[in-house]
Amino acid sequence: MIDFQYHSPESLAEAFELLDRYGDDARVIAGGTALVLQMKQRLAQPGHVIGLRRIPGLSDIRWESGREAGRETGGEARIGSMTTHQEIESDSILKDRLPLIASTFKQVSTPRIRSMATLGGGLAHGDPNQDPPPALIALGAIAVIRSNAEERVVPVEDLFIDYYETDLRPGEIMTSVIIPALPAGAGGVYLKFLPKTADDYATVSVAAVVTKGEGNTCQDIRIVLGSVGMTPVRATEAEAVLRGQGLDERNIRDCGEAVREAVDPLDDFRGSASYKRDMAEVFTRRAVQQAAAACRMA
Amino acid sequence: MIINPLIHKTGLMNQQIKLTVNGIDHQLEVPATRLLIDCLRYDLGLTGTKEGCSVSVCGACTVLVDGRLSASCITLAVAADGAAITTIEGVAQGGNLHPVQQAFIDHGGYQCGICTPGQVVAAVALLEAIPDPNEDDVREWMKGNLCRCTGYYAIMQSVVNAARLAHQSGSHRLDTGDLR
Amino acid sequence: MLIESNSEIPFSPEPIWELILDIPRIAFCVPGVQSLEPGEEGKFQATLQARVGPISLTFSGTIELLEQNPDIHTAKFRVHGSDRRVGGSFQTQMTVRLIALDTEKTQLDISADTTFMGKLGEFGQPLIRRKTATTIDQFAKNLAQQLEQWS
Repeated sequence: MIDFQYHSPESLAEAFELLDRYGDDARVIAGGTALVLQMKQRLAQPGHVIGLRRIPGLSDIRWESGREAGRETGGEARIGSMTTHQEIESDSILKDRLPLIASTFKQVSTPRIRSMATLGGGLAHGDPNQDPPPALIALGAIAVIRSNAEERVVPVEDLFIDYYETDLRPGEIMTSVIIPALPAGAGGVYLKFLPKTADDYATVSVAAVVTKGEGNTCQDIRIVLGSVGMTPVRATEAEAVLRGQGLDERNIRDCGEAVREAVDPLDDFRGSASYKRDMAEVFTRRAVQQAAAACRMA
Repeated sequence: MIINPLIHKTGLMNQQIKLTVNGIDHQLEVPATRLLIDCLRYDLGLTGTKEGCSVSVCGACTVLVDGRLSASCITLAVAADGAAITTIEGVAQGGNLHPVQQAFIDHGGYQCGICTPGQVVAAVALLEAIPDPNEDDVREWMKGNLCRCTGYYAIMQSVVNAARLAHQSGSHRLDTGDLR
Repeated sequence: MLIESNSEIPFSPEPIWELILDIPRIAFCVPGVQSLEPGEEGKFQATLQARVGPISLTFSGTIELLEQNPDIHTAKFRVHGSDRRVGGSFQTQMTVRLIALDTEKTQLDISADTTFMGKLGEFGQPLIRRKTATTIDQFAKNLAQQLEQWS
């Protein structure tokens, strides 16, 4: 590792000040599972590393019940960006109200990594092979990002720009992620296809959230795939095949087939591009079936 | 304390940190580049923690930081400033082997021993989190600790039996000063 | 690692061929090239920056024209670059060929056989392949743009 200076600010204001002062030469560190590895390989060589662990208020998990026009809506979870995967997978509120999130975070890597790696650090890393992004995007999650000047919100779906590249701008820190509750009558699932264990990233993965309408129709659907391109991929055309249609075998099969066009996987040790394309289709079908079966009736 | 002259003469900029390791406070001066595993092994002479893969995959370097499983090979020592750390050397309590250690001996949970400190520390943390684990719980919790020798069966037996042993003796809790 | 790409350039082969042999001009069509200087024996020293998110590699190395056959509009280059900071390097044998499709349309075929050494050999070859393909696509676009500006 190239020598650097480590800073441990005790407030966001202090962190922003450090980021503004050191600019390009600074990197933010959360759990460190990605950054320290990069620094050991000299792929990252920041002169200044800014640790977030001493900043209070970034590790809370809260449930906020919603109220709109006098009516109680589903509500939403607000999870601090420094919350670890392990805290998310074992949180009783999330297990009850957003089981898809708790179960997806539990599928990441090993317990040791999960007790170090954070929600925000993972998203900021911008790796399309990770498990949380497809599930977060399928649930319509929103990232809350702050800088010295302002606070802005970015749907997680729009956060990923390219491999390892996100919409996080210089001087910004993600502070939390908001995840709305599933609508009534909806069910979700995250499937991770891991035929090889050379590493823990999926060959392909699919998150599906299905909202059932009357008579086993698909009122709404979101399908998001991981490990199939430079970013997580939301298969909007495949969704359109099923939206408003019956959740029967033929429509689900057509939906899976439409996913083939949406993905652009790399040829690598986890599988050839054509194999991944085939598996994207297979696992989309399965995910849609399982999500439909998991629909909680209103 | 073992002093490694090569490390202390690098001329890198040092920072002051405090680590409480196995219940003992240490004031240290280390460069930001010092990894926790090197700090434990070379600055503090606690060579029980082993470095296997250096990329946080094998689990040989497992320690507990504020009670949480951590890969010391990718933890910066400066990022652990103020934390309570438990290494393999801190698992035995008051001169008595921890039930996990006794179980590993009774059930042959190790061969060459290089992964064993990490296995034991991970298993100790497991019993804190799940006092009565079934085999699936053990398999899931310990999956980040790789072993090239045993084929894992004996490790599984050791951990499952450690839980039973802990129940019998009623002493499966580490000194709470080390954990959060 | 062999990467092949073909693209269509809306010009006849002759101006494209001229541009390809003019290393100072063609080199700056490659995305990320930051500097170019003539060196010894007809070689050129160049620096090129490549990014994958926050990971930035700066290669310095040489570009050399090995052979050219104007009858079949085929040229062969050797490019070599290394990034000392990261400890990786690459070497490419690149063949560029022009095939006239029409009076104002030429097919540009690029075949690059690349060997990676050091860190680059480990670091995600599939990703490098994908990024290189994107770079070559952009190169073809830049080349067409250069020709437009000069005509």
